[in-house]
Amino acid sequence: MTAANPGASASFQELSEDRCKELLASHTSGRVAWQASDGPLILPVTYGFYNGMVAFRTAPYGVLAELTRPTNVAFEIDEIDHAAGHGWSVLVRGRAKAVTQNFDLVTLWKMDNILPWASGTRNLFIAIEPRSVTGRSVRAPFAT
Amino acid sequence: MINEAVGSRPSDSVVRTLSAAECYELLAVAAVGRIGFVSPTGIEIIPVNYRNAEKRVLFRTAPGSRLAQLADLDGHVAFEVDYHAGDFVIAWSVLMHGEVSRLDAEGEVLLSNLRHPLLAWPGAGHTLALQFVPHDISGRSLMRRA
Repeated sequence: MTAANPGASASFQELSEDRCKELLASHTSGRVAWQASDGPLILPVTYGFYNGMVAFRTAPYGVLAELTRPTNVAFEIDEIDHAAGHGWSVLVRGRAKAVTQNFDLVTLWKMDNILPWASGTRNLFIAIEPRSVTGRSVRAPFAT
Repeated sequence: MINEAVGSRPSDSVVRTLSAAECYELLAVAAVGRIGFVSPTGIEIIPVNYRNAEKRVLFRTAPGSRLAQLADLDGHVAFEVDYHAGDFVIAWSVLMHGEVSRLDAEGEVLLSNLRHPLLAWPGAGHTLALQFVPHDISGRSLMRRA
């Protein structure tokens, strides 16, 4: 166990931007965070990686609808395998705003992997245009 | 507040706001959470392994890490935990706001009494145990009928 072996050296590896984008394209569930008026908010969303952007659906009257106004956000996906002793995380930083271009909306509606996290009329699409995409993988010393 | 689907619910799924007691129960069955905060370089989201005990969240980090620096400032953060079954038949999320700090005496006792060991995110060197004490907790669940 890592906790019982604190002296051993960790193996952190920065992931390349290309690798981060592959991971973004091959997953569908993440979390978006931003600074709301009463403190930082983190909410889970299901997303599609479309045209280099992270896109997700929400309802026009929900909390996430705040992001139709251009807002600085972070978006994170991660995976951890305790048995194998490794994990990774990817962090996207950028600006979220409502998708208003018709051709984008037509494509996004057809992306059937964007199952909304909650129910309701979720006809608003928000896209995060990345300013930076970073990630790292970590491997416990005992892992092979 | 985070129950953002209120207003229109198709009959095949139910979104429910969870009570604080239900939120704490769910915290006890999950193991990975994400800490969100504002740093000088932007908004951060950092995944951590955690255990909760007595309405506190305990996790490990490396000395000198961004989370350790945050603890020295009693930094205000959001702490989020979520779960969904692969097909979204069941999903839930819990969101808390509060402060990350070094363990106080009570936190040390809680850490040593944990039934299951507190693991770090993989990779060793995470020798510093920290605590997150929430001011507020909210959550929601989603159940979709097959």
